[in-house]
Amino acid sequence: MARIIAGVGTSHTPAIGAAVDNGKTAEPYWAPLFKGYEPAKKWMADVKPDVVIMVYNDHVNAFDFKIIPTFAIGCADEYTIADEGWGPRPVPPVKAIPNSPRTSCSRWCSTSSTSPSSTRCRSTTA
Amino acid sequence: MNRKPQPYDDIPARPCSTPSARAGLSPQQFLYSLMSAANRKEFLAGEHAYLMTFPMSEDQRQAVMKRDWNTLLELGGVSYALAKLAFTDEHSYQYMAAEMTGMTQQEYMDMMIGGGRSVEGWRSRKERGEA
Repeated sequence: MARIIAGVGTSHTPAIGAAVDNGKTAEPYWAPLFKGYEPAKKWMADVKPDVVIMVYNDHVNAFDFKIIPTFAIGCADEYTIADEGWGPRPVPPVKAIPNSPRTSCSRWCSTSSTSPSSTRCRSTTA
Repeated sequence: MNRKPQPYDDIPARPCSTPSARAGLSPQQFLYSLMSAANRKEFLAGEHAYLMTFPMSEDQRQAVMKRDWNTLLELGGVSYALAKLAFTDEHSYQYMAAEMTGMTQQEYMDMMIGGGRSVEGWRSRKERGEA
């Protein structure tokens, strides 16, 4: 039986990732925000959780408004980084834990997935 | 369409509701298409021709071409999706947010550093003198 040790939350504007990528975290505008992460980073380094369950807002990156589920569980082996309009962020793809027990959804989910970003989705709905 | 007026109808820029979701579906499909470099290039090379391939209203197309963010919000656009248009122009989310509020980006930054938006000011169409 797993033991849940914490829930950790953060603001999630797209600009935060861009600030990291563009080396702006020490600038006066951003420094207070990134300073705020330090205690949580230290705490996570100390406790080293075995598994992190990440809950996040899709920001129109996997779902394009034709279908917007309130919650969806990803069960692919890997998720590539979305291209939000400036190219994918230089961070690694999100991978499932190797040989982990899969959720029951994996029985009917594809075992691999790519970002839909390369697909040109054009609605025929007027 | 018979629809009972909702209290949030008075909030500018259309919070998520069935009418705004319907109006915004096609613009959102266009904005979603900007998630590929090839599509961004094609769009920038001929914006109206590209927009014609989506079943959007002409008002929505013109607002896209003018980068009229607030009109796009009124016409069903969602800011998470509109950000892809700002990024296509190599602008930041903050640039778009500043334009939406009628501030320069520096003024917007100063406001955020200073604690965020003031509670003073209008919060509805009625307060803005429209309703």
